[in-house]
Amino acid sequence: MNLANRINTIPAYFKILLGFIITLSIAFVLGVQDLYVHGMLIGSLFALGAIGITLLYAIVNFAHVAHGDFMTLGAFLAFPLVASVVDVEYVSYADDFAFTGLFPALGLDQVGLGPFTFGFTILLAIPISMFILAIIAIGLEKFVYRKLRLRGSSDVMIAMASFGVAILLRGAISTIFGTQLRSYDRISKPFLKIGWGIDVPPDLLFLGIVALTLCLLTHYILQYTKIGKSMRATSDNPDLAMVTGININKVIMNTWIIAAGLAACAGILIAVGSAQMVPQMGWKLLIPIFAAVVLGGVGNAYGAFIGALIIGVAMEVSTEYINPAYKLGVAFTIMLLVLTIKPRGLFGGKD
Amino acid sequence: MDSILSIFNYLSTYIVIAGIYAIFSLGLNIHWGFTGIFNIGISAFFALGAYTAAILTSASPSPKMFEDFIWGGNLPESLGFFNLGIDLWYFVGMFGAIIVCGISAAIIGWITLRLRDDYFAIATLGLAETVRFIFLNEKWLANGSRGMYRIPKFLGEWFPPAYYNYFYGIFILLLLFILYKIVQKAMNSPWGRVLKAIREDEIATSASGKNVFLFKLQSFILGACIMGIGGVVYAHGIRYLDPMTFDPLMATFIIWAMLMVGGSGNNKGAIIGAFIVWAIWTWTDFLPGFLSDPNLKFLMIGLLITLVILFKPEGIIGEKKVKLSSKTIDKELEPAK
Repeated sequence: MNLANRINTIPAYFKILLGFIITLSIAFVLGVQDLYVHGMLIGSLFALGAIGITLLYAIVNFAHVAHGDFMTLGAFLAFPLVASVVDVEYVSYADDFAFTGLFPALGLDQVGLGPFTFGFTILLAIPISMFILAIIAIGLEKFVYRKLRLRGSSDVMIAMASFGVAILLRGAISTIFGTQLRSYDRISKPFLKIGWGIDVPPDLLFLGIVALTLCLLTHYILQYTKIGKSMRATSDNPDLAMVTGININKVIMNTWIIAAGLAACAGILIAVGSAQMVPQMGWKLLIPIFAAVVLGGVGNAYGAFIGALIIGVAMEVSTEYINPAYKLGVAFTIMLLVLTIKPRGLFGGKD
Repeated sequence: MDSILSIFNYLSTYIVIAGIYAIFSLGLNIHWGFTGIFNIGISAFFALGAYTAAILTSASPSPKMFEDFIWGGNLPESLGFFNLGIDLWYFVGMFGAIIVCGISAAIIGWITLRLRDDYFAIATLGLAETVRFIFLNEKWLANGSRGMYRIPKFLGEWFPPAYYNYFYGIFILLLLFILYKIVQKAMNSPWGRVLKAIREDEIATSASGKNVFLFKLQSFILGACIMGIGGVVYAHGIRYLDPMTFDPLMATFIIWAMLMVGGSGNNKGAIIGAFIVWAIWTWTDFLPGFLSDPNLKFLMIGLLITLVILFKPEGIIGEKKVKLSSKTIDKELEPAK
């Protein structure tokens, strides 16, 4: 048995754990442990988007370019629910644009729950936004993507259609909410000192935990439920799945629901974490998220999760050494490197 | 009289901008319309072309003008006699831009064109954002967010400023015509037929002995160079560049809408689409109330692309179907190089 074979017999989770410990120790040695932890938490938010894209790749086999704008839409769907009073001098079509959000109108306008900057209403808004976005995704699948598939359009043509949808969604968001910076109601809170030179905003810690919970939930659905099993079967071999009686259309619908739900949640969490939202935020997230998908191996949900963590850490740690404006460039470079050296990604996926 | 003049002025500006967009649309048609490669980073080549020309031709920076970049080629002065009195520096700058766009397209294409089309799309998207960030953050290169604003005028001494757009509009139409002829010639050649074959069926094309990757790479480079030319024409036409110019909306999305509306796979369609979409874009400014909201136009661009794909994938003028008679079959069967 040669060395390569020996390495191949090590279980994947052990390698991941080892990689995590080694990189964390290196981060401590270099004194960037703070950025490392930040990167992990931000990466777990990317993971929510990346898992959705990679599942769509696995089942419907096209690059869902509108995923970033799904995230933006998720964030903005929660906006009229939780933002109490918006008073903006200029929204393109109306000079005075002010409203009271749904929850604040019901008297639920406390912000600053515990150590966090937001109120508990955001936790109510997340499932509502996930639900609405899932419905929108189903509508798009029914009226756009399925039609194209039935017509026999190529995958690129369908990706192209999702590109049109991306522009459409972003245009709709900026028409309704304007293009200036927005944020949910919040009050500033001090950072949490963990020790060893690590300070994190409590929000980010909370967001990371929510994201991880959702990732675990997705893992559970994929591994142990009938929905997940039929999804995995379809991804492996659609024709075989069809003859064994799996309803492909239903599988596709479930995939859209999961992907859209995760995207909506990711959008809200990112809007909370960065304390701001603009209509183009999702489009910009598309590069790190696709980098995560490619790094983990396209179509591989677990790979996408690990890939997102790696991309998050790489982007954050890089700010110590280069101009922070080039964060996106770091993700892009990693993606290009993976595509040249190992196009199937770290954990194997479709070509 | 004045109102007629202002209409003419308006039309000349319209022709300048729509003509520039038509050049991009023509370049994109090579990528998407003929080869089927999905480039959503047009703004990268737009920016590279425009900035290369601007840096090569701008006068050396002076701190008095709030210019932080370190080098301007100042081609109009440095070429001196070789301008031959007809501002040849313009074409030297254009040549430089073509080289820069060609090389960057070759590098990106070399890495990503072997893979699935959608990886390639994301790579072009990444390239576009990276290029924009570089021009935004590297002040020494192109003055960062303040932008380049001393870009010389092509044949500016020959025409009074009030009538300059008339000249430039005619110049752009001429250039567009030449580019159209070149692209038309290339696409009807055996080489172009291989590209169409790749678009229709990659596996069959490679089975018939064509190196699909190399043909795709050549097509990508050619299209990128034409986009670079569009950037040069823009830089000397608008004479102000900053990184915001290359926002994906105005530098990528709208061009896609133009190509899809006009008809991908047809060069005439690509050009007509640019003029139609730009007409819709500017003329809706005159609508009352929220109808002239720029964000609503954005929504319309997205809707237009989606609807065209759904209901009229061939656009206004679709690709001409090759009618097969014994004569054309003989012609089609000419061996490709």
